[in-house]
Amino acid sequence: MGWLLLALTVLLPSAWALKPTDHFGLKELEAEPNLAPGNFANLFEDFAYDYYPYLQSPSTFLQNRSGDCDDYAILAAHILGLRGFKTRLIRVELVGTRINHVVCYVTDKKAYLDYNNRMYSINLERSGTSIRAIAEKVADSFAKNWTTGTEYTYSYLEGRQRTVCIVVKTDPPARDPDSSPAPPAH
Amino acid sequence: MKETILPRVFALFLVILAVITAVAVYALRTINRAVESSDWVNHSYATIYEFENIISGLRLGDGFMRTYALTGDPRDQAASRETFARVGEHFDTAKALTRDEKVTDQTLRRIETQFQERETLAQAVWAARSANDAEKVRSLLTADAGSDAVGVIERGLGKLRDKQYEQLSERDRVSYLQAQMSRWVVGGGIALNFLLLVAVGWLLRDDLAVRRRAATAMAAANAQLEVKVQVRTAELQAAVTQLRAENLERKWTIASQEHQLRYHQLIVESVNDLVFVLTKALKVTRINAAVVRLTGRESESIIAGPLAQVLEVGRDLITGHDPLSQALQAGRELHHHRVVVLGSGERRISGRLTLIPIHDQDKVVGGVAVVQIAFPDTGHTQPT
Repeated sequence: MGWLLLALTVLLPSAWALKPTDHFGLKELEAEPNLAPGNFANLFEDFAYDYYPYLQSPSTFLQNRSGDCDDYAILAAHILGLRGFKTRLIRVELVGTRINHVVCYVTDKKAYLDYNNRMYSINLERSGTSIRAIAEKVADSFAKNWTTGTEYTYSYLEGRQRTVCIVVKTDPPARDPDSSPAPPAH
Repeated sequence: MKETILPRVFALFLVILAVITAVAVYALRTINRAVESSDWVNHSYATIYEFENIISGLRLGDGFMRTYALTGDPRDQAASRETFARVGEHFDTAKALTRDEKVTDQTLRRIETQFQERETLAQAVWAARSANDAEKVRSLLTADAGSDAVGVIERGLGKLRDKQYEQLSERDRVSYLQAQMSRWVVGGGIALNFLLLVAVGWLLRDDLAVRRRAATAMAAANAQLEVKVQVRTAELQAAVTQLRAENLERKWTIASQEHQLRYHQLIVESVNDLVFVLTKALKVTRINAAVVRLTGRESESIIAGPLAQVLEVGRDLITGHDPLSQALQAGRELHHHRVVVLGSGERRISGRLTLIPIHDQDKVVGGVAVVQIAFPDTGHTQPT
């Protein structure tokens, strides 16, 4: 009897858990228990890439199962934030393209979620915590140079991006806004 | 000759290495500068891109605002809101990119204030249109009619963009000069290294020629030495042959002389005359068998003793000197001089003495005394 209960405890949640092939909406996603960054990325492996000049609403993104980097990153920051993960949205301006690239950095994992990596087994890209380190890693993945890295916040309710700080590549790293050490305690 | 080629070649290779190192360091620094320069070019283009996005976003947002005012379609409002929000993001990025350029930063902040006025107007229009307050919408748009606010922003950003192009042009000029300088430095380094390698080659070639000449001279000297050795060997072989022949002749001569000597010895030993070999001091050094036979003494008692113990020589009646000593001193012969042989048992035998001096070169070293005995049966001496 004991083993049966144990098996049910283990198997039932996984049987009911969302799978990449499922069509799920924002509510199902928000209600999904034990959703870690890796599991979150797995759910999007069948999604298609399509560039949209404006941010899609999460329901449109999930319904169409198609979107671009900021649709994915902002949704990841929203869902993982609900799960208690500390996330940061980083936008990297790449040279030679009129399109920037947005990733969702998960501070607890010291890695970022990238829509371009959603279909690989290693879907979390490890990186340093500074915006410069993340920008360099993202630019490397495109084999391109970058000009600025911007950390910003986005709320579906407000519908507007708020810039937290911007790192410029040509600045000395010591001048990066996120590199200033904490003031000494008095 | 002191070996100098190795230090010289080594020194030249050190110079080549130094030139290569200097060129490599310069090339690396140039690459770093080129990367830095490329970053600045990207930076300038990113700034221009942000300015253009602000201009186009402002016009687009303004257009969506006016469309929304006419249609009241929420999608137009959302598009207008989204566009203005995007322009705000572009301002943030543009300010970050130009924060080191004081004048540009100040101008950009002034333009941002002008933009915020446009956004405030848009927000007022959105609110009035959402509330279906057509009068308010009309008054807001009428007040804005003929305003050149968007044009002012556009011209201000245009000037900033032109400034970025000027900076790009200046950076391109510096980059071009750096590239030219790099070409000269790398080309000069390669040419210098080529010349140094030629110098090394010339040194080695020269050294090889010297060594080749030395080897040829040594081979010639060896050949001459070989000829001399052969000549000398032939001479030595001839000398050896001659010496062997001479040695053989000498052996034969010695054998002949020994043979002759034995004959003479035999003759001397076989004669009845007494033969004494004397020193200059008249001491007996050798005798023949006739002496022992006639005197009856042992040869050991005679040899090395004075002649006077076996031979009595009469002295010169006038001078009183010993005639044998005088003859030897003078180096002359003495013939038929009367003597008495003193035999054992006080026997006295008369005889006649002949003395022949022995010369060694021009000096008299002794003499040979021959005594003829007068035999009793005839009463005569042997014929002289």
